[in-house]
Amino acid sequence: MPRLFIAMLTILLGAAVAESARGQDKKMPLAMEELPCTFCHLCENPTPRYLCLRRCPRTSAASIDRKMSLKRGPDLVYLDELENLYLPVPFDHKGHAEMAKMTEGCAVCHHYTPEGAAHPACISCHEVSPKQRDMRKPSLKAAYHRQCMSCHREWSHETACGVCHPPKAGGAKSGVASRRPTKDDIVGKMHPPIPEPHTEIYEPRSKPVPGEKIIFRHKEHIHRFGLKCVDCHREDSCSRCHEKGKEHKQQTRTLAEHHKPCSTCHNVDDKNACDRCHWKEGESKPKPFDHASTGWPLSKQHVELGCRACHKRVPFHKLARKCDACHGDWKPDTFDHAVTGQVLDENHEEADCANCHANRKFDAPPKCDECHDEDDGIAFPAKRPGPEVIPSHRKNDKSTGG
Amino acid sequence: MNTNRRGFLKIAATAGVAAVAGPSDARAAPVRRISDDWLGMLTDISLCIGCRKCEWACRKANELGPPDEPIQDYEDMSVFKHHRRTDAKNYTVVNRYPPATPGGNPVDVKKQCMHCNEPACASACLVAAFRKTPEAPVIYNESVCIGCRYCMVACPFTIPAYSYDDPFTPAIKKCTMCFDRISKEGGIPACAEICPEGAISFGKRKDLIALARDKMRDKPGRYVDHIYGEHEVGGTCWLYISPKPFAELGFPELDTIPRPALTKTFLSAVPLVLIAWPALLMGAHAFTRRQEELGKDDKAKHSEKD
Repeated sequence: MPRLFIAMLTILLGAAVAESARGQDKKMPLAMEELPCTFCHLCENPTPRYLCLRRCPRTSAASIDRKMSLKRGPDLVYLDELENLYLPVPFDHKGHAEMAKMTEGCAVCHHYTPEGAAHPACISCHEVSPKQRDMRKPSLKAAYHRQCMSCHREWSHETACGVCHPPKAGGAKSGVASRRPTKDDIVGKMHPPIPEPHTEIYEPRSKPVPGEKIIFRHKEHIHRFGLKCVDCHREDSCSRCHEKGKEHKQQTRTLAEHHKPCSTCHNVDDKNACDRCHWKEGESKPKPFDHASTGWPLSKQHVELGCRACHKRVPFHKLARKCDACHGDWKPDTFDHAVTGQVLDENHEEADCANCHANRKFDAPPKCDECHDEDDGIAFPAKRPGPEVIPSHRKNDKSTGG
Repeated sequence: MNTNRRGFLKIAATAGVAAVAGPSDARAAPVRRISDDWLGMLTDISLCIGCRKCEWACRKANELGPPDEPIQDYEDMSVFKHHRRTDAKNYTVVNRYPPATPGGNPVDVKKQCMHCNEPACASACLVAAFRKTPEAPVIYNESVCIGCRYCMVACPFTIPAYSYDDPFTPAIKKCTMCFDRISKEGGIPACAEICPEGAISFGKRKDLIALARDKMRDKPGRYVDHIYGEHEVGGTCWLYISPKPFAELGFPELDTIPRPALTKTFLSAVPLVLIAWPALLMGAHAFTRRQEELGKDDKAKHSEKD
């Protein structure tokens, strides 16, 4: 009898220890306590047999937009899992993020993001193998394609692989870009050419002044200033052009937001500069940009150059009013005078710069009176110190210096 | 011969009852119970983009085309101009139908053998060349086929095709649910593997029905409330869910009676007729002979009396 008692006691004790250990293991995560049942369960009274779980617990998916700002996201993402078959698919993340802003936000694609974490990579949940352990979860391939095709098929009705996957060079079909797209392309992928407007005149919707108009010289910005589409169309949404049928809600914008595309380069806060773009009907239109207004009138050689030849970065900054501000590596010993369009003959080759260019003012016309008599009638440009050629910078439209 | 009139009537009555009762039982209780372990496929028509990669993969897996057939050939969408049927060289075809809503995407439907729970082809086959495997795929044994093509007539989905172009060894050609591939560990049918959209799911039929219901519940309004193949002709192992009514997508509108059950009424009567009919005739013969014998005896008695 005592033996039986001891045995029973042991069993009971063992069971109690095991139970407490199990209880420790199954500690509920703290966050769970605050969630309503319906966050995970579809029905009101789930049972262990019928849990009626939602397909994917979209935990904090909605909070991504607050956590992640568009600026922190990448502009362009290369999807290159199939790099052995195709060139990487350039995915314009920024463009899509902008479009997503108009609908459900980041969660349209990043549908599952755990609290306090960055977006997990698709591959961390979606298996590569087509045989899924969980049939409710699409494979990686299916997950990618469903994200893209659900919209793109609606827009383009295109399902051929080559539309997104540029084939590798060699196997490339005609008409399909087989070079790796760069960030500068307007949408990551090469965008078909868009007809450029020459001059655009806008009439503001909310007219601050009656009869006011705004001029914007589009062509000048592209060709003279050498700007790329993305330099100004930073915040532009693809759908502005690609969903023409749809009515787009005009958002109320502040003055700063309104001027944002221009404010990268132009000082829009300068009240005296308004008339560069804004003018009233009946008045004369604002004139195109003249470099002389900066105090550095462009000489014959320079006027043909694009702004980018000297002002390398956008927005354009003031450069020192010295030749070597651009012609940085200019040295008299190595200077080839032919780049100016004027080749120096044997007699002039050895001359010092200052002999012709008085006080080394190279933008002023050269003087010949240092060596020649004025009475001989030798003066530039009637008499030249050698044959004239086409300046090298005009040949390939590149900078003469540096 | 010791059959008397009472005995004959007894046999006739039993045969009659059996002839009436037998077939009705066969219709009420299906011969094969649906197994939870059966495999199956689920095509989500709403996901299909009509890329035709499944056609290419199928031909490759079943060696129906040239071995190095370029996949780009299948980007030709002009085939959608005509409604296509499965044939000896294509176990599966994709057809395109008008959008479910005006201006929407066209609806693309992949067509192949439905792998019926109770296959009509197997029932119609005289030599049991068709077999419903325990795993679910309905497969065909070329070596016993006599080429009668009854299966082609019997199939409610008009799937089996005949290799008419092969004069010496013609055979029935149809989808096998990639039986060879799925028999291997981790293998899945070629079409399901290549599908870029994951529109074709492979798994246990029971799980696929649950999956289909979940999809309908998660995305209300995306699908019509019908899992095609759940009950049609007693159920099929290839299932479909669709954003558009199935009748508008070339799916035959079928009842839930398994096709073999329809012929079973007749076929199960055959053995009975073979037993009952000779018995009836023999009984009649015995009866008349006895009458004749009795008549002879009477005559003899009468003549003795005379």
